[in-house]
Amino acid sequence: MRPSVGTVLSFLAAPKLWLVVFFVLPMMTMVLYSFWRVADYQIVADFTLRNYEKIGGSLYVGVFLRTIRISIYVTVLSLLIGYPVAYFLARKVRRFKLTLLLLVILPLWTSYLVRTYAWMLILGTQGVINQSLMAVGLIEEPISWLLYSDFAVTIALVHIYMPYLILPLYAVLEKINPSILEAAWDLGGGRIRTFLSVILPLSLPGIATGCLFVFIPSMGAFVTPELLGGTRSIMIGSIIAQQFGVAYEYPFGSALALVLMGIIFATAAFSLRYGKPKGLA
Amino acid sequence: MSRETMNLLLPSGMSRRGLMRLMAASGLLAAAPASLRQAFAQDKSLNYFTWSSWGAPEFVADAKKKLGIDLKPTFYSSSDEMMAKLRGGGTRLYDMIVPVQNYIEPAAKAGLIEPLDPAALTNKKDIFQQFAESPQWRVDGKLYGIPFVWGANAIAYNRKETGEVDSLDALFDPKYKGRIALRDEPEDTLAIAALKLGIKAPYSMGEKELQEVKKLLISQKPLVRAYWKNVADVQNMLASGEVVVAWSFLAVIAPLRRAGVDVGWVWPKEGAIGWNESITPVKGTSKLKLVEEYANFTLSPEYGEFMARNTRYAPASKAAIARLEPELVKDLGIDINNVGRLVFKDIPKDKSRWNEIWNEVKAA
Amino acid sequence: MRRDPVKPFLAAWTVLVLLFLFAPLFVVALFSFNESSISRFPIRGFTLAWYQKLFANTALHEALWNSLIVAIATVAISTALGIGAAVGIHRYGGRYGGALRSFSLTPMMVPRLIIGIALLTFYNLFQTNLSLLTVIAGHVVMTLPYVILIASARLVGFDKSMEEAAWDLGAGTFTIFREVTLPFLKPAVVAAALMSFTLSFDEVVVTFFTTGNDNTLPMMIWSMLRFGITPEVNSIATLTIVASGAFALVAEMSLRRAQVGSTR
Repeated sequence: MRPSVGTVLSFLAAPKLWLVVFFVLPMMTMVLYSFWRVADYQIVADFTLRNYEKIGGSLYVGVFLRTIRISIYVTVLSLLIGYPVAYFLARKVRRFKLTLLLLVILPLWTSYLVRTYAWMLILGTQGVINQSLMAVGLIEEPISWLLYSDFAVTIALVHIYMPYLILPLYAVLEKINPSILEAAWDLGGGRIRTFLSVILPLSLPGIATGCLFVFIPSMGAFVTPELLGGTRSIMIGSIIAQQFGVAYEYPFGSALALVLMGIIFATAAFSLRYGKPKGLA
Repeated sequence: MSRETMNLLLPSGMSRRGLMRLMAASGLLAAAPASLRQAFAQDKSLNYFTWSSWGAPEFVADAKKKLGIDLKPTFYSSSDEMMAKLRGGGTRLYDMIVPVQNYIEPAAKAGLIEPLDPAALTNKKDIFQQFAESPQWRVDGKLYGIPFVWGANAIAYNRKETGEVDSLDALFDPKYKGRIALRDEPEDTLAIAALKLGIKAPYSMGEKELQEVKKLLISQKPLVRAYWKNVADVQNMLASGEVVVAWSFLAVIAPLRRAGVDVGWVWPKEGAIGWNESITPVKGTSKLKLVEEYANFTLSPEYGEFMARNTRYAPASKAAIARLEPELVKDLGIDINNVGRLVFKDIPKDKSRWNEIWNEVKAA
Repeated sequence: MRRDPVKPFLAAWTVLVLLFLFAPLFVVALFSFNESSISRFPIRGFTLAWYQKLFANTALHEALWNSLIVAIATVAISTALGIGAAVGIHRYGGRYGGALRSFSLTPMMVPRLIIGIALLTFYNLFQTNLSLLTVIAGHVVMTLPYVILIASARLVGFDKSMEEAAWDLGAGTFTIFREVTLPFLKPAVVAAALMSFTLSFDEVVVTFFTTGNDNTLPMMIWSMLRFGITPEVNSIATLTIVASGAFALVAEMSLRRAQVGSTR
């Protein structure tokens, strides 16, 4: 087939153009802004490195580190909780496979804001958990670290993003050819050895994609930590959103956002190298 | 995500033609709102960027009934959010806002607001003089608003748990460890920490005093349950018993009492943070006359009475207060004779430094 | 088949995880019938008042309408562009195919917050009037990668000889696309449309930074939550759960039927 130049362009150019105009150019605008400054409530276009110097201060480095830490908790927890579910759905059920998969996805269709608020009702001093534990006499005083803590933020983020990890993992696990497993059995590998030496390596691409689907939005989370984090859980997303939504410090906010992007791209490059998932190459 | 995963989610049977028709229709719809807005530019509607209290359905209905004006409210929950939205293109969207006194100068200097014609505000005669003549509402001799409402952010407390409270000490009392809430807003929180330290003019603090304030707030952190962002959050915390004493807006009191929580409200003796608010036109509005009409209406005794009964906020109009029974006036949580106790919000000398100090407290 | 001792444990674990995923939704549904306007335990009294208020709230209807406009426009644009892009890369990408695909997928690597603020700075620089159109532009950026991903995955199994046969019979490029490629892609189109709709309909962060005076449903929910109107929000959420549940059920049933009907 020898298509005309016009045909090729119409297939390739329109979508690319959209991404260039509404994604690449905005990102470049942000790069530009990050070297500007604000004076007398106006953005002034002269070149300065002050914004980046400011990020080097202990305050922002500290917040970046805690954001990374919480995002790692969320990712690891999602993987540990979600992997058995994906495995079960992919390899152990037949009849209700579809129903179960839909059940995993269904919570995503409720506003995540509402779900975050619901966690307050569950984890609060007079919430479901504390009241039940007190009713059965396991505790006498309500447990206060359930809400307004790193714990609350982590649990809520796991709840919100774990389904995005289960889906790709499920897809990869389901594709593993049963004959490979049979072969591993026949070679005398036990259940655990078969899992560790065959299934786990084969599912690495799913793990990598799934973990990124949790890690990336966690790094940018700001609503959930603000609502559930209490006094100690400030994350970088809040500070970035503050520069745009509250402080009109677009230049400084842009610089923070670009540093965050740098961290995310580095993480993505790393994990995609060690688990090369299909489709994201 | 692979094809297999996605295929599981498909309903079958959607036709190609159906899809095309849907696409065409939605393209038309997407373009509609913008053109509709222009078509209605000459009607009696006002795009009202405001605090949730002033855009509540009963106020919208009242404006329609009494003036024939359609209020189209959009809400903000802090002054900074208002400023950020206006600078981010909001001047092309809104006709009027309800700023707090200390934002008039920056908003005027940044070219975000429009002055009012004093002659249009005939109801000004009923407004308490300290608000009507306040220099904070005037920039370069031009008038940017006459306040219709005033009040203070102060302490709300759960009477059953704390008894009567009269001092900022309650917010720093280890007795209430883990049951205290403060506002996630440097303008309030740094200022009350300064008042607690005996600094008389919080908004002109220097770096040395800011450092002391920061130290005090960091040492207080273990006592604090959460810093609240929206008034709903502090209301929920007081309702659920999550906290027993909180720095708060007056707006939480009435709903909490309705729900059976015995909450008290006090201007602490060290001082409370005073504010007043006015209708102010947004720069470039095509409906200045209509905004002035509405602004004057908010200064009327009828509006003041309506507002006090519905929200428990205090009218700045003497004539409005005269219409209220003494019991209700007590409920407004104001004391015009004690205005001296209020520190009226002002622009901090170095605003971004204040934000930074507050972030340092939160990150500590 | 071998007896599997691990299966019951995995099954139990899955049930627990599903409970975890649904717990907040149960709580929300419970409180939507709570008489008190403040959500706290214990619940007092049963009422349908919040649902009645919901149906009377015209601002909410407008927000729902806006959300539908945005979601449908997003679905239309991103499905059309995404399918085109996937087919284009598959057919003409050649050795640049990988790079082109990677480029198309980068927005997935960017948190919504950053997509939102980048667009805000961009619109700010060019003094663009914010409206639903600026929101839609952002939502398309957000959903396009998913469409391309889904369509590309489907195309991996596409037999190019079909297109070539059509070409030999004298069909033009677009005829081939319409008559051969698109029918093959139909499941992917529907999947992509569904995915885009879901993503767009619940999106609040990108919308927050790019919308003007028009509220979408999630924005409305957001402001209601901020200002303490929780019982009505609980009812909205409950209705969404019920609606999406019913939708999922229908989807599943029609899929079952399709599977039974097809011979493998």
